[in-house]
Amino acid sequence: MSKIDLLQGTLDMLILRVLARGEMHGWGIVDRLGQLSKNSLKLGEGSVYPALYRMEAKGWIKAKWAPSDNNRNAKYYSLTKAGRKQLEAEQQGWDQLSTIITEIMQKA
Amino acid sequence: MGSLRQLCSRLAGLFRRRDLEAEMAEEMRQHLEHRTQEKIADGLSHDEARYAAQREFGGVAQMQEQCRDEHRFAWLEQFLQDCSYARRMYVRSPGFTGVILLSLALGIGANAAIFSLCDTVLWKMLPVAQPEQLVFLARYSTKEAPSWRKFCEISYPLLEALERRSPLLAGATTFKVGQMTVGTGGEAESVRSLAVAEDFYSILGVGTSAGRTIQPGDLRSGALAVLSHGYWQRQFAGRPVVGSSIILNGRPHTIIGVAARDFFGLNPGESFDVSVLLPEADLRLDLSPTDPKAGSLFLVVARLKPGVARSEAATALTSLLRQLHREENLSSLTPEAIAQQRIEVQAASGGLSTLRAKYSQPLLALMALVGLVLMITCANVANLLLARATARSREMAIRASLGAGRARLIRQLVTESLGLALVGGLLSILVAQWSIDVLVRLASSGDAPIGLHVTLDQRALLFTLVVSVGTGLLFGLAPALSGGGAGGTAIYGQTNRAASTLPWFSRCLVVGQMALSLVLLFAAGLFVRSLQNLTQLDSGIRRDNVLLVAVDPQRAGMSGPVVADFYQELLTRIATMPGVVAATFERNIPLGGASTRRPLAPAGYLPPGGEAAIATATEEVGPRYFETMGMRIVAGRDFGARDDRNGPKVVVINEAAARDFFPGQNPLGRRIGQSSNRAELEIVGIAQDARHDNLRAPAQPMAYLPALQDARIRDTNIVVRTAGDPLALAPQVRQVIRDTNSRVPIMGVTTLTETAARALVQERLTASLAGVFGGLAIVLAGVGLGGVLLFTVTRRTREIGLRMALGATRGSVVSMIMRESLHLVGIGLLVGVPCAIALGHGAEKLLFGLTPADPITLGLAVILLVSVALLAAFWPARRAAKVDPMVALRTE
Repeated sequence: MSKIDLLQGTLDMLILRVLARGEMHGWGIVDRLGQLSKNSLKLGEGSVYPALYRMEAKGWIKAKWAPSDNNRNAKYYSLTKAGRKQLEAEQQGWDQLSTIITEIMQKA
Repeated sequence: MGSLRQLCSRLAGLFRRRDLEAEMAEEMRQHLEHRTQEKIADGLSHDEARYAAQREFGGVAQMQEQCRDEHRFAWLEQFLQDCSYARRMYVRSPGFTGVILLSLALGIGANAAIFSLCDTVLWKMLPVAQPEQLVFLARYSTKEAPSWRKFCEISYPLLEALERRSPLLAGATTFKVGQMTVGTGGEAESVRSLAVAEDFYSILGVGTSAGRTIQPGDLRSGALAVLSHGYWQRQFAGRPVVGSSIILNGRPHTIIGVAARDFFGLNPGESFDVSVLLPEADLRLDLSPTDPKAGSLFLVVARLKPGVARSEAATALTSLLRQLHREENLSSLTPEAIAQQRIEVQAASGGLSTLRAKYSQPLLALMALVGLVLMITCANVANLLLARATARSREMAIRASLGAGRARLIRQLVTESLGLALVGGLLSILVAQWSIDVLVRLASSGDAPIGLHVTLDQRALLFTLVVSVGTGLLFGLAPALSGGGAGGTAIYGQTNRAASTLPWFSRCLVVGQMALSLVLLFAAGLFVRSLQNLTQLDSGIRRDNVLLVAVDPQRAGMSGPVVADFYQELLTRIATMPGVVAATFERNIPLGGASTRRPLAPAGYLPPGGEAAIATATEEVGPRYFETMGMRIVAGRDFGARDDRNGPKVVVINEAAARDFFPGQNPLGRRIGQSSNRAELEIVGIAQDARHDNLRAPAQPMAYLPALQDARIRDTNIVVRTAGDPLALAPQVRQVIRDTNSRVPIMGVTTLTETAARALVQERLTASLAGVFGGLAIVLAGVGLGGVLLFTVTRRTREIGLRMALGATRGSVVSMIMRESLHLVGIGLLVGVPCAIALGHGAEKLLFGLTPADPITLGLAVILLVSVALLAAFWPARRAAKVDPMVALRTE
């Protein structure tokens, strides 16, 4: 299956969802997304970082430096309370949107 | 709480920029490292793994850039960056920055100062409660238009009747300005007094700084005084004075309070010192409203009820006046005359202002001039910024190609221009404050300190600031607005070639500056020469070396013949003093601002206005008057000692009066007098015409009366013509006066030259200010021209190098620059000369002895302008001449 381009704005929601499971560093998030989508999502590896920085500026996630598996400090991101609320809201919005679109596509 | 912490951490992030950068780099490096390891584990070589990882990641630098932009305070960081860049750029070109700052500071500052001055003198409202409700009332008895007269023709009983019976008035009161003596004896000091009715302060609604003001009911409280704030500070240094005593006109008064700080009376620009009650006897409360014996008050101030229009009040009061006459007419007016009487109601919100009348024309003229200076300033700033903009078009193009969006470029340019404009604005506040001090000092030179309290007007400053900031923004933004971003080429052409000549509107600005400077120089020349003409005018009176000492024996309780004897004895003593050429006395000094008129005329004389229009200017003088004044006696004789109360009543008239009263005949021996007795005074002399009251108008008919023959002889000015410096003799003259009678107060000592100078203070102010602005304009314009020429030379360095390499001499290069300068000036003159002449016509009333298009002044202005232009071209021309062809051809 050819890789599908990600809709703008949904990357944030996906990252939030991944982080809801637990804290993770940048490339971990990319790995997880790849895993979950069975590698069908076309995602530039570095493009997750602007999104992370943006969400950190908005206060949905927070970052801390902690020792990683190879004993070096890596930057771990985790969800904040506001982030959790944002995730819920975006999830709702997405569900509604996809329902409407599916309906239209079927009915038309 | 969490968001606050987040905010703090983000702000902290501003200062930890370097750490954050390092962190971000580390993070991405780790990501790449991890991926590289994975790929190596998959079997690729080290390098291949690395390239693959990088490819998958995307551009690291771009990602970092994007991350940086996500930073919340990115705009603040960029702003600080722009500020720092702007500062470095401006510091590196001090000439450019200095000229712009100077132009802004001077242009804005001067405008704000003049506007504040105009506001205080011309437009400001009185510092009382609801000034817009205040009006002046005056009674007129003919159909003629209201004009300024000494009295309002309303008596106090009439005022009371109008106030009581008119439903439209919330109150009416009166006051009188004058002089009083503070202290006793020869050391008495003269102060300005404000004598008021009981309800004056309460009707006006004046506040206090200490104690209380005069209130209704105070007529019974004895002698009270209220001080003005300024006088309180000057005389008593703000010490508590309420309750203490002060001797005014020989009587002790109790000080009951000090008026509010900004209350100066009803005369803007001239503050009172002490305020007392109008004596009850003056009010004549016993008489009825229509009785003419009640006299006339100086001025009536009334407060209209809210919502009442002035015209409405005028009509109502007029009919009320006629009603009063119908009820009880004690005047000698016929019913027809009564029907022609009316009450005029004039706005008093700005107060009564002799200063306003004196200065309103020149001040408005100055506002126009200073507006022109502002335009020159803006043109200068605009030109310099434009020149800078063309030089930076390349820089802008590079920035755009590196990824700066249009918005980012505009933000940078705005920051730079705003910064410059704001610094200029701050400087202009200093300039404005200093200018106001200088202006007030200029205006009050010669006079006693005017109570002129000019504060820097916020609106003026704001307006001029907005104008300059606007100019700065507009022309600072030019390169970005013209499409410097997104790959477009700036309007000023590409880097090398097209920008070698100035864009057309830059030249227009320089031409405009030249024209405006010419106009200002011409105006300055006109005013200065008018002033010169006035000061050098032969007024008929020899002004040099004349001492004037004002005395008032009435304040010492003397009257009638005692005063006459006092004056005679005084003159005898003074005339024998060493250093004295001649001595006399005169009631109203020349150009002193005061004048008297009497209905003197020969029998049968009927001027066009009818008998009621006879009003001859008169002067009450002492013996040897004409000799002391240096005036020629054309026929007959001067006054002598025998012209006293025992001798036959005589008069001397001037040539103008002789022409008027007795055209073509010999006036000597003929008689003139008031309507009761037209044969009262015998004409014994004809004096040469002299401009006694007004330097600008030709001499009016005058009659000189010997004061010693007047039974009601009053205060006067002793006139002493000295051989040397008159003020050097002043202490001795004072001593002689004290020796003759120690109780007579000396009201003031001055000289005739000083009085003349004071009379010309308006012209001097105008001339000095016009001169200052003219000078300012030419300096600014010269600098503007120089800057623009310098820019041209720099841009055309290559071309000049080429010319020189092809054989042009340095001289021809210099003349090329000079020609360009003259070219611009020439067009400026073409535009400027008609404008200057138009201005001359506009200011015609202010000129003296000059035609509005005076060719000498115009010629001088043109020559000055051309010289300055050549001077301004000197530095750029030298730069051009120093161009080394080899270096020039190699550089851009």
